[in-house]
Amino acid sequence: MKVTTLELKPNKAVLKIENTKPYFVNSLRRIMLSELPKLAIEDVIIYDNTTPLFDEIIAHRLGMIPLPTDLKLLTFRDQCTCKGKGCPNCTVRYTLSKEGEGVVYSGDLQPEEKSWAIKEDKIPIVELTKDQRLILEVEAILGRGKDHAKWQAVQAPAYKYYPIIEIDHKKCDLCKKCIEECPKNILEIKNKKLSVKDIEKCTLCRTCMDVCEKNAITVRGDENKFIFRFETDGSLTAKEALLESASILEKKYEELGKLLKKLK
Amino acid sequence: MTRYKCGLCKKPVQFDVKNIGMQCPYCGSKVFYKERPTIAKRIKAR
Repeated sequence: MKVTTLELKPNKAVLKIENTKPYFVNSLRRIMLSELPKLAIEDVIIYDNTTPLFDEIIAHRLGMIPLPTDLKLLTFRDQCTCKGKGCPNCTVRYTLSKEGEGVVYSGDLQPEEKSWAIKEDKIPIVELTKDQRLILEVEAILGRGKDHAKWQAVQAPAYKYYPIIEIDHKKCDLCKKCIEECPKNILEIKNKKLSVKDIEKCTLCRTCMDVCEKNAITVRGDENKFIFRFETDGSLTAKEALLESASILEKKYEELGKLLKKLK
Repeated sequence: MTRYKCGLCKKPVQFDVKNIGMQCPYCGSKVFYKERPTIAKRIKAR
């Protein structure tokens, strides 16, 4: 297997994965969605709330805020030595105290330690008018996407077959219909020949094939080569998310291998 | 006795729960807000 990075930003990655099969890329995608751990607010202790929103709605809004996650420092609460009581190894605490007028933003959640400060600090939670106030304390714990969407660090991981566009230059009469119809504008005429500008942009829609009266174009997907793209919500970087997902997948395969050996 | 806040003059008032025909002794308003108890409320963010 060969993996090439086509694009790598803090919150976004596009990869080219070669010499593999769809089941493997799909298992990586599913690990990212449901198994990758992430920090999110789970318990909310409300001391005062005179805002127009109910306690439960505020708690739900708080739960969806992406919190910076350091997987090396944290363990799952149910696996922690504190036995679920909530200690610094498994729980991150924030406090919020604000009085109107103004908007309560995610950045108003004050962490116990500065390293846990929320990066996405402009997410509105509730608007306060004069004399309204919100005082609360929250506990954030590690969780997995399969338990609740708030613990889903990766958004929209998807893969597609690597496109293969074959042009029969003997049949092509340079009518330019395919160039006009292509929704991604990836076809052009270069040196009096129809050619492809950026093959990775092709969505395999086959519009060019349909409009070509001479049947000069063939579009198909390479079943051993994929373009895999995903974005994170900011709690983990794209690189961290990918490496952690790969290591989870590796552990799962190892576990399966051990179980299969026992069968013999 | 239960604590309420008058909806018009915002002053705190107290009434028996069984009281029928509540009226603010300061402004005569009949609209009241029940005050939030001072205990902490623990809920799940789900």
